[in-house]
Amino acid sequence: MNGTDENPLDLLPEVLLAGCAVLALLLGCWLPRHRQWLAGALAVTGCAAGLVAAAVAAAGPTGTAFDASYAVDPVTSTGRIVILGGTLLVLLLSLTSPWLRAAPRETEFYVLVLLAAVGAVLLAGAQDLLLLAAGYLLASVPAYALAGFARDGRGTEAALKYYVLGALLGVLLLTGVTVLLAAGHGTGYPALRRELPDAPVGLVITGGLGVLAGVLFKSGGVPAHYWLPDAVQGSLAPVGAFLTTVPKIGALAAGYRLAAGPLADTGRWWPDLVAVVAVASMTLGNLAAFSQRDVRRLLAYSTISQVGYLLLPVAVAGRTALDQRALLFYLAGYAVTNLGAFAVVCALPRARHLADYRGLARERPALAVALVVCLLGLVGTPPTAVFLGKLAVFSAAFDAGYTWLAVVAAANTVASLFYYLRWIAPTVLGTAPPGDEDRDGDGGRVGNGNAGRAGADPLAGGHATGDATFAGGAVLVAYPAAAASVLLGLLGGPVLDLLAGPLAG
Amino acid sequence: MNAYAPILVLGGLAAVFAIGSVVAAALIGPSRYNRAKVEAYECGIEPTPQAVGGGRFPIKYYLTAMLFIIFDIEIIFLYPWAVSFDAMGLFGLVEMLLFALTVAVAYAYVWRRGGLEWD
Amino acid sequence: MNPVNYLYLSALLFTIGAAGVLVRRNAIIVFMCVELMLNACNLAFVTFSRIHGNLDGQIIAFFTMVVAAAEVVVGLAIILMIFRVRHSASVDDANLMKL
Repeated sequence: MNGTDENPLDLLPEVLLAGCAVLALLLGCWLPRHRQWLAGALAVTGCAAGLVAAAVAAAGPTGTAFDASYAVDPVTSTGRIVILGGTLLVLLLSLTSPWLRAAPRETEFYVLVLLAAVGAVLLAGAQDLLLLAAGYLLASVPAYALAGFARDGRGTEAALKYYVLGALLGVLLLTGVTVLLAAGHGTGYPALRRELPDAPVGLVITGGLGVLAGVLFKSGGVPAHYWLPDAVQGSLAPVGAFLTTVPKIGALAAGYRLAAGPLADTGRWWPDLVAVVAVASMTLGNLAAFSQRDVRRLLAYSTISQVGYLLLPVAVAGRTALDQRALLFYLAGYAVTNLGAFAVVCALPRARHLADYRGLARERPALAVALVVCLLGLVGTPPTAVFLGKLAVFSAAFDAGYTWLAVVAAANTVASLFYYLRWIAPTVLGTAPPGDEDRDGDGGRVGNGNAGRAGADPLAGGHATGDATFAGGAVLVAYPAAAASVLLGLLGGPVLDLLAGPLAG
Repeated sequence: MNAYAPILVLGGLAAVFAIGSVVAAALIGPSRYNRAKVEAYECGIEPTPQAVGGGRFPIKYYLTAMLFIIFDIEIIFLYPWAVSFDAMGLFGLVEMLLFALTVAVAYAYVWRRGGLEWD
Repeated sequence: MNPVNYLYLSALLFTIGAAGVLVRRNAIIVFMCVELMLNACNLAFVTFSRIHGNLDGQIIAFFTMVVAAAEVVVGLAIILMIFRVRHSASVDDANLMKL
């Protein structure tokens, strides 16, 4: 209670988000069914207001809030902006999803998205192990509900798997916090940074492992990745977009902050360990993605491999001048590109398999261009944002003396081209079979091409994504996201410079 | 020992009240017997040889229990504040009011969505 | 009493919980074991708070309790949902989605 830094305005973006979530919940209780979209509009407004507040805070000075438990520095600011921007896109995707607009619990969806976003932002800014644990749970608990939102067989299964793994790794995170508390006599990062180098190494490593398990779960890295493909495949498409993007940003920022702060001076075990995890993540994600036929599952494995690259700067945190900029830029580029790809998936709710995309370039050229831009962006093709992010990340690993890591990551990038091409090729080259769901029929008639495949393959059956074959609203997200992915790549230099700056505390 | 004296006094008062009310009820209360009085419990589930529905309870019991757990546990945050509310001053008071308001919103939500209706 | 004994108890509870999570198949029992692990953490938090002579651990224990309650309620809701869809609470039966 020193009272010097207890200014609630420091947390204005978070407060706005949480306040809007509470208001939207209240609003949704009294609104008639056909006006529930107002709660969604309120959520969008809250996100936009939070974005403005975050931008203002980003221009302001670096500092800490509430007894140095929360940092307001470039990592938090970038995290806030990317998370809020991503949440905004997900909310737009949800508001344009025909299934969700007809759902009896529409308001709750928006509220859960907002609350999970608050949790992700808290993860990004937490400078105290207590806040880290609270942020983890705030980001997780609404996400479990989101995964099972459709309440059908696959949705509930996705939620159960997500929940069981999340609860278990949440306990591991808390155990890590316990051990670090024992080793460092406190929970604040500045105090831990002073104490941990003198603490017994075994304790520090055990604690660090526990906390790393939590970070890996939230970011979807190997070995805590098992939930991700099922949760993305089994839940609604906007939920998949959310789960693969927003919590990751918070978790990786939290991992970076831990690595650059309390664990920075405790020896080489952290960079070595995280490097191994990163290699495992990118390799296993790529290997599993090769054989996928379901587009959402493919995107899920693609995000697992992307987490591998994103873990590189977390591994070398504090050992090179480039780490922070590389991580933040890659996160921003990845978020916008991944959301763009998911927006295309949302726009074609009936197309669940790679083969369903055959002939998309002929039927809907603009959408196909957006998809190809985003997929090539995820590979890391110049001039997209992810290309520049990957370049920065590889240079950071190289700078810090992890040449082998940069080489493995580059090799994985080349290998990943293969499975993205498996999606791009039918989209661009193929012709749609007669009666395919991509055909612009009269007012959203169900294509019998998909129905035939669905009969042959139990995986394709009966997910309640709505009756329309084309959810036109989602293109409102797909086009800007694809454009932003290119634009961010072109403006890379100045943006990278904006992301520099010391950590708070 | 002195510091614990009020607790002993409180315990004594509680014991006097408990014994007193039982004895008073037996002495001055009217004793009219009916069916409910001779059953094992005067409230809750009807005791049957087998539990309702072949050993299963209606799901509403679990829903109500879950809601109870949530609202019950939230109170825990009031304890640290109650212990040190004079040290935290206006800031703590406003914070706690906001917290209570949020819990109230959750309650309003449960109520409006029919979570408290039995049938 | 030596506070280290509480740490032994906490480690024991944690081990029992972890073994249960890994071995048992009924989702409700898995949740109970997770709760046991959480409470082991809580016990350790309070013990360290006592050993270090500060309140950090106790505050975390408060948060853990509340958050664990919220988490377990969501978990029970998920089990109810899966039971309605599937009529089974075994985690091994959840196999609609495979590679």
